Amino acid sequence: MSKLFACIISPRTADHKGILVDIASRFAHSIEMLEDGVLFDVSGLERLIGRPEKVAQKIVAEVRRHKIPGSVGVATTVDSATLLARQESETEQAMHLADKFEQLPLRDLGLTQDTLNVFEDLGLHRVEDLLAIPRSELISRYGREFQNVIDTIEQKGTSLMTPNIKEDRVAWSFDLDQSVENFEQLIFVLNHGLERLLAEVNAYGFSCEYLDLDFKLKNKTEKAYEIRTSFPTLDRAFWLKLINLRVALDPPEADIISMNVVAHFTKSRPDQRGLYAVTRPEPESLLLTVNKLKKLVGRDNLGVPVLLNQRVAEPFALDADALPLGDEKGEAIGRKPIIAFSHFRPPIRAEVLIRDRQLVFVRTRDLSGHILNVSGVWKSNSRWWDQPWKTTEWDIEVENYGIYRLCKMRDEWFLVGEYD
Amino acid sequence: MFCELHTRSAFSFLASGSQPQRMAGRAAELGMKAVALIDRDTVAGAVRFHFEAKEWGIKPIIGSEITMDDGSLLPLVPLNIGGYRNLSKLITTIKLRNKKGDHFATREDIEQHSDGLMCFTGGADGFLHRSIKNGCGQIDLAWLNFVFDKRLYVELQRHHLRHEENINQQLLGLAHKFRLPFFASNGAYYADQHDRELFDVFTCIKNHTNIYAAGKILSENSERHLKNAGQIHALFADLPEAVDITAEIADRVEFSMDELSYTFPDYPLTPGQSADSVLREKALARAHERYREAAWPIRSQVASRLEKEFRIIEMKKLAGYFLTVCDISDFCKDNKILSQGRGSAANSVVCYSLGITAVDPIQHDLLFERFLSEKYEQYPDIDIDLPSGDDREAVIQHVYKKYGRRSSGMTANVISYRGKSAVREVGKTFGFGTEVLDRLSKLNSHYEMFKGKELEKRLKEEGFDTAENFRLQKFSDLYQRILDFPRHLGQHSGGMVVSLNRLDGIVPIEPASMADRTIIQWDKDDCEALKIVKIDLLGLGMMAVLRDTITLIKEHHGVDLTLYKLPHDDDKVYDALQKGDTVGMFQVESRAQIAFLPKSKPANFYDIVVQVAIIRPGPIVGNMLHSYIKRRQGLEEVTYPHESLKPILKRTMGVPLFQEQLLKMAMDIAGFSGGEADELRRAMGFKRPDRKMEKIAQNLRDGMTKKGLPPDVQDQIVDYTKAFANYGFPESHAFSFALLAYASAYYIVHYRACFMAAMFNNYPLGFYNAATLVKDAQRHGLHFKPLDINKSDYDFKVVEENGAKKVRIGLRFVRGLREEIGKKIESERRQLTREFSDTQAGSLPSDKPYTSIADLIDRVPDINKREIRALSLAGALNFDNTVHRREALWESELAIQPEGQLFENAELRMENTEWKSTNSSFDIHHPSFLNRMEGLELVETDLRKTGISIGKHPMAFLREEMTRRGVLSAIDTQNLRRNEVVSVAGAVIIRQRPMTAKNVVFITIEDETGFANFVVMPDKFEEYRAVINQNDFLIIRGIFEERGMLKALHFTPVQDITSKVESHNFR
Repeated sequence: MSKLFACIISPRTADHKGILVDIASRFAHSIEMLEDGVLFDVSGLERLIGRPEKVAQKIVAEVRRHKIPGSVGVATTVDSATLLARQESETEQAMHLADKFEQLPLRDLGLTQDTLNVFEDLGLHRVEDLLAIPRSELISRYGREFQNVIDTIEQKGTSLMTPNIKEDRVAWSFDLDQSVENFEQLIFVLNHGLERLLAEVNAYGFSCEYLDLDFKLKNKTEKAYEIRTSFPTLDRAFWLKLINLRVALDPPEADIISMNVVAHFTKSRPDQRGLYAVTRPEPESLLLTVNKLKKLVGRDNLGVPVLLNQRVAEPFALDADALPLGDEKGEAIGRKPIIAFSHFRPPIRAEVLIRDRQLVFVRTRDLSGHILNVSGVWKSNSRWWDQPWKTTEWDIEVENYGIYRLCKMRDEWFLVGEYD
Repeated sequence: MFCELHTRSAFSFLASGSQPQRMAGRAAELGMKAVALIDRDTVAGAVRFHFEAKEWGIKPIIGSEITMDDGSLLPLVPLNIGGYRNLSKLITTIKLRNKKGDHFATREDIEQHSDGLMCFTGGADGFLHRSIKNGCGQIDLAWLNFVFDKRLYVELQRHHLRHEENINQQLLGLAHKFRLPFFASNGAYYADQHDRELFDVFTCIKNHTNIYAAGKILSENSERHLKNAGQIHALFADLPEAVDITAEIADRVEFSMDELSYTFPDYPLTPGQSADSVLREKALARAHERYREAAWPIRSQVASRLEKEFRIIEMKKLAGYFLTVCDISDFCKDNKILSQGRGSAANSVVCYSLGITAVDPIQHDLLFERFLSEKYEQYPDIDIDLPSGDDREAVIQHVYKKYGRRSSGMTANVISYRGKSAVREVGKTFGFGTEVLDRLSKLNSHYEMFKGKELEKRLKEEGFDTAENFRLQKFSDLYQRILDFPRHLGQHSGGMVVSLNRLDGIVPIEPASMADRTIIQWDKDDCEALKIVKIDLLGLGMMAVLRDTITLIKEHHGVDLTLYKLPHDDDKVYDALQKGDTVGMFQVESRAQIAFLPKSKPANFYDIVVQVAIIRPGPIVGNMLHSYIKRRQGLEEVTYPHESLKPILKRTMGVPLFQEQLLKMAMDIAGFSGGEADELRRAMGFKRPDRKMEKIAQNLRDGMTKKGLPPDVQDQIVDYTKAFANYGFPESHAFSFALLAYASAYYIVHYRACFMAAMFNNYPLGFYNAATLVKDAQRHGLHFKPLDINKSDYDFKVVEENGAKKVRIGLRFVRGLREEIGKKIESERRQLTREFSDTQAGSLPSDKPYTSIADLIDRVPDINKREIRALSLAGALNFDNTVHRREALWESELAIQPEGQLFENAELRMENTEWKSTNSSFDIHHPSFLNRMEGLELVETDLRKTGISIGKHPMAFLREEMTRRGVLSAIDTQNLRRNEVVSVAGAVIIRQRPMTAKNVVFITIEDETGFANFVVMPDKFEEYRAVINQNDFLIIRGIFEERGMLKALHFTPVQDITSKVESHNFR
């Protein structure tokens, strides 16, 4: 029996990838996801559905049911099916059946623009025009490699389908009989769900470093959490603690009526444990500690400082999700000494006494003293094109204390940091 | 007292946010008594800065930051004229040494040019800063101290930035160590704090990035603006002496741009001669020759006119200038280069006698005072028109050779940010993608540059909402502010400056983009302000056309019909002009001219002079055009403001048109001298009334009172004068152009084949695209012969067939064919067939022409596949119609296979095809799968591949359909009744919105019968803007208003035609 392939091309493949795969899987086991659609092997369906046209109509009907724009092609080779489906696939119109292979324009054959232009000038616009030319005439002009094009237009393409759709996640969901106000009440249920989920992941031979947790809420909204670790693990207790900390940090706004957890597959951790004594903290412990700290100080106030290549008031930002990475270097380099500076977050409110236009005394909740030396005023400003900011600062030496950076914002004084 | 001694202007290109004039103005507003402009490697902004500062009453100091070989900058300021000359020579040396943009100075250069120059250590990008960072500050400061002994100052800059203090303390330490004076500066990059935004935009443009990605290359704050003494004192409260010394340093500078004494080159003289005597001798001798055949009334005036001119030339010491221009003119004659002086020089009998100009001022009663007078402060302007291209280049190179590379140069042209470039550059800075940029750019058509709220309005129309989008608001704001800022220095269209001594001692010279050209750093206005004489060697495409036409006429008609021997009373010429049948004619071919000619009906040469002068914005706005037409048509009585003006205005039917008429009026009715009259013209021409103008107007009144003119007439004449001064056109200039206009008309009417061949060989030029020129010529009965590789030369040529002169299309029009390949194709064929010519059709031997594409490749091996394809599609490889274009293209695809593949496939090819591409025979199989191009497809291919088609007009293929739909052809519009509503279809060849027409757009469409003209009112244009601008073929419904003009009501695109039309679009 001859082979038969079907292809669905849609301009909105990225948005409907899951649906397209679902549709394909209703017709075939062997599926290849393309950048702009999905290709699948429908060989044998003639016995169930009928002629290729009937098969195509069935697929079209299925796609239309999901209101996805694009086109469907069914042919005996992979290339032909793809080419058929690709015509007019740029439009957002409803599905249509493309079954006129010979009428296809030459532009989709993968020819160089140069050759396409020459064909256009020669008055050759469609596949049927090329089919009318003896293949030897074409090969003598465009070389042996043109044989592939000829095979394609003669529907003798030898391209193979490479099925690439495999499971890459598993999901677990739970609908509650009654809404639950406090997430902690769901820990037991979630624990059970995680156990099943992670066991399923394990059964596939994978591990997990990324969970999606979704709550459906009583106020008809949803609350989603993306929980990632920097290492794969199937440690249920660890995941549960992490989820608990995360939800505590940003609890749902309404009662929970259902929950859904998706575990994404990843390769298992390669490092071996147990043979030697652990010389560094276990990553699980570190991550839990970090998340506990986030719960205490707020998500925005904990993270890895990242220097910004921008003219902004604070030259760094905190990346809450990043962990300190990079190569450790212990080598001492003879650099110029750099004055270390500690930023106060939040800045410390201060009172400043000015006499004869000179800063003479400063008082905060922690310190007070005469200002012995002043440098400045230092001015910075930028981002005039979107978020204008400016700072007006002085460096002050406070008697018996140290050197601080004093800032004036809207007639209020703050100590924003201290020089070491 | 504080003086800012270190500022940069926009002439540092992408390194400053303010124009030099604004720098000077702001410094004055802040109470400085002096301010220094120190641009990077240039003094291009110095002249405008100098005059602006003087206007404000402050001392301008000029200097330049020199780029050193390590990329740092060394600010140098001339103390005296010697120092300035050294600075100018230094910049010239470093600029000319390397290719454009790669200049730098070595320490040796600095040492050689240091005399008279004062040196500052500079700011953060300065020489000493770099040295300190590299750990050799002390050594380098010692070197500077040695080179600029007692002329070196350590510069301290503070911009409220922490990191500056470290380097400032080191600088202070070094200054104390070397006992050097130090001064405070703000190193101003812009005049106002607000301009920092523009400076940041320029930084992004310079670094090819956008404002979001620029990061730390942008400024840290907005403190690099000009600051007043109080602000600087506060900044340098710990170093008050650094502020106080700035005034002393400023006082030390003695140099002023006013000192620059430019001298025109001396003419080489023998002992006992003076320039005046040589000029007199030459002019008299040549006048004798020139006026030999003139009538006595003219000849009798020659001696006295010459004497009068000699007196003024001698008084103004201009003999050398005249002799130099004469030398250039003689060079042209000796080298058979057509040249003609234009402009007010045509008023001079000396210029006419010397052969510089072609119009006899005595015969045409032209006024010398418009050219030169005792009171005339500026140098006279002698412009020479030359054929564009090689001839003009030869003259320019002659000047370089004669006066030396360091004593001559082209005048610069300051290229500024204008509409499209401003949209694109600012848009890129704001991170707009290519698609948005294209949309924004298209918004700004050639004819409109957005001002004020116009941009926001346009943005809204295109779906951008500026009110909601802060980014667009900022873009809009900065777009407005960047307009008119200089982008780079280009070349002036023809102005050359030569100097007696080294020109680089007056102004730096730098390489131009064109090979073998150099430019000075000042533009024509700067030169005029400093009284530097410029000789304009202007390229005029029509001069080249006339030159080639004369040669072709001689070759094909055996007539030596030079430009100045044409009879000026040819009926056929005036007949064509009166009908407005002037496509291709110089200066009288535009849409407006064609509309006006049938009304004015020129009947003699002077009418053409008027015609050239009157279709200009001035006369149109001043309502002189309509008045003249009515009088010309006898619909309005010819009147004069006063009887005494009748002799002056009679030639133009009482309507003042020419500047010479204004001068004569002042001289005759107010007793002004020639110089006073010219002063009146200039003063009246100023837009802002000033005391000088009032004084001159009073003098005019006083003069008229003396002559007995009543006060009401005086008022009328003064008003008249004021209005007229703004639009008057030099009569002499109009005469010079009229000569060329008449000549082009004469050649077209009598020798159309020769003229059109010459026209196409010098294309592009004129108002119309080549396709329109071909169609117009065809309608006049000229036949074109198609492209043929065995008959066409690179150039268009005239061929004779059955006694008729026809034009054979040249290979130069094949798009994508390189000039050298086109010429090689011709020479290779001629080499073999030199004893034969196209005129001996039918006698070409079979072995001399190209026999096949393979033969062509064999004999012209450098030809590439794109060129062969282009030739095939253009129909040049049809080989006597043995194959059609697609067959030729199909065969060329075989012939251009790389050698390896040819061999590889040879066997296969021999087996499977009957095609034989050998040198000896051309036996072609006609493949059934290739359809011959025919009809509209053929025309469209012609237009695509050559820009012209000698077949039917595209509209002819749709005529039947158009007739069925009731659409008229263009010729039918000539016989319509007023208010009749009709539809006409055609290719849009003109879209125009003249500045004088109050937003009215004029559209001309062309079909196979001719042209139809439409006027589009602003509301209709707005309604159909997209349809009008985006379609090459339109069906326009309009209401007939007057002869040759319909008022457009509705626009529809013509479907079924994909031809591209090159329209004269909003230029």
